Amino acid sequence: MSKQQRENTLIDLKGMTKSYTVNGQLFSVLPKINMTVSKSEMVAIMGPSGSGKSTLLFILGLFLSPTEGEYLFDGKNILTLNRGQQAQFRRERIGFVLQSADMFQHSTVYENVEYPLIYARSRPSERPERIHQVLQQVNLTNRMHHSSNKLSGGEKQRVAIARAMVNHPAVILADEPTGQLDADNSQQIMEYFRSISSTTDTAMVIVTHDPNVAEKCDTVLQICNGQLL
Amino acid sequence: MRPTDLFRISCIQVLRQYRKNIGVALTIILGTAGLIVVLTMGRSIEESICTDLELIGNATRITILFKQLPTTRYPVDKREFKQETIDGLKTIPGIDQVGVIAVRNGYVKVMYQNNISSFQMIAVDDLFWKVHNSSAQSGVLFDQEDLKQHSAVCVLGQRTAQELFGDLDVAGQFISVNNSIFQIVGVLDSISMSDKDRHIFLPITTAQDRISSVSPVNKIYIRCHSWDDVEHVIASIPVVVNSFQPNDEIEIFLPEEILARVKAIALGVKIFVQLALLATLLLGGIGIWNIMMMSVRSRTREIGLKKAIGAEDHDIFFQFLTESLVLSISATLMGFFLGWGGVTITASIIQNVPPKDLFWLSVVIGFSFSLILGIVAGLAPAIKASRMEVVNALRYE
Repeated sequence: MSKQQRENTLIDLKGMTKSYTVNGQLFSVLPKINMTVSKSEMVAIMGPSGSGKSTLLFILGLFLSPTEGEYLFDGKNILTLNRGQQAQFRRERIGFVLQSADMFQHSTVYENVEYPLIYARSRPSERPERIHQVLQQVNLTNRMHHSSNKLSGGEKQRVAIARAMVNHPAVILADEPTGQLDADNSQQIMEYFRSISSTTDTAMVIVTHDPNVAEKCDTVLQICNGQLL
Repeated sequence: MRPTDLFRISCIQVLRQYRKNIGVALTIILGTAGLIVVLTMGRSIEESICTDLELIGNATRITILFKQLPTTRYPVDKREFKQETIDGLKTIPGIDQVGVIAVRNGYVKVMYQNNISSFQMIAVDDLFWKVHNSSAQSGVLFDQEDLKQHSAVCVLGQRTAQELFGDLDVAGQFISVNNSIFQIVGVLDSISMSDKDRHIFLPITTAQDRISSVSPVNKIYIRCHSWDDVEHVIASIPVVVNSFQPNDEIEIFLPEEILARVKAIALGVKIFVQLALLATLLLGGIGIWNIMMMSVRSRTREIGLKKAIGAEDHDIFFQFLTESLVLSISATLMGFFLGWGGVTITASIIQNVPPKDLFWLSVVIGFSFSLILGIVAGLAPAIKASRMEVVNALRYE
């Protein structure tokens, strides 16, 4: 790897393994995965159900600990972080978008996007501008004070993207972000991802079943039986 | 998380989820109101019952008199309690009132218009009424001023009034007692001295002036502040009496059996009130704990999502705890008003207004309990929520 490549690499997984022991038997979900993601790169991870895509995504988000391997993020080994440092890492470096576009119940669009800022202890005076900015990126400023329960699926996913973006993360991890959306909304979401990636240097790791989504990414990784192809 | 954000979010969550919280809020509102009513009125009723029992039974009334003398040797008993002795008894700690009487052996002749009857007479001081917790059924009871002025007034027992006047209002009427004219100021109630309802009561000073053969002060009644004072007062009486006059001739009477029974009844009342309170507290506590635990389960995905966007364990912990506190304290405030209403209604029904201090003490206890309840009931769910693993929470359906 050249120096320039090394400097541009955001995520570097080496020999990443995840296995579980059930009734004394060892089940390997991810055997020795090697993978890199560069800054502003959009990576699609595809594969059949149960192939370990989401497990990989959860390891990238530090929600799961790998059984073995090395995880370098911006050149630093982050598997040694304690629980509090992991939370800080998620707050500052990662944005997370789920398939079901989970909203915080009984909250408005504004409040949903405000939560990451609250956990990051940002100043209350700075928040309105930042929230307005990210909602503008996903064209939702007109719904800012609407209850999130009353939004359509596509709108909820846009709120989830805005929420993931608001702390200016280095990477957004998206687990089937278009899984419950129709073709038009899927297309729109991918356009937002592309726009964010190109304008903010944010990398995207998107787990998807949809080839249409994958083809809009820079790199497509296939997982089959735990092997990255 | 900043404390202001924590408080704001918790208030918003509790308010917006009012449908989910209405059950627990009602439990706390009713629990707090019940607590305030039981604490305020329970103690008030308990005190009232105990006071009534004690007064009816005269469980804290001590009688001091002289030992009986052989009548053949001493045809007229001239022994008396000196004023210094009476004043000395008043200084014993635990004594509430000291009243004295003088008697006249035999009957006095009482005449009203043409109606002549014979009744027993007792000469008493004004404190005699207080020792016996007596009140006037009609009119008034003579007072200290009447004693000072040696007023020619009297109080009749109920049967005395009935026999002399029938159903007429006797207050203000004049009667002749052994040929001296006295004005009736009132009729004694029937409860405090039921054994003396065929008596006529005169101020001790007036009786000694006007009625022949009235003894000196030869009987003292003492009312103690409480049951707990009785033992100590009884032990002190001979010592105090001996400071002023020989104490080998006195006898001290205390209705020990009544005291024991009254104490047993009062203990029963207390245990009942305490059990009722305990049940209220337990029900409230279990209700909140159960509902908060259910809330954690139903908000599992929310917890996972918050952790996924960077919430730390303590952020989740304090949010659940604060929500529990906001819920319990705001419900307690409503419970306070309901309890206030409950106390007012109960007080008017049972005709027993509790002391204000007792009410405010109950409010303080209610709020303290609510605070502890909020923390204790919210603690386990908050710990459970904060320790939840993100992956398990996000995968929870």
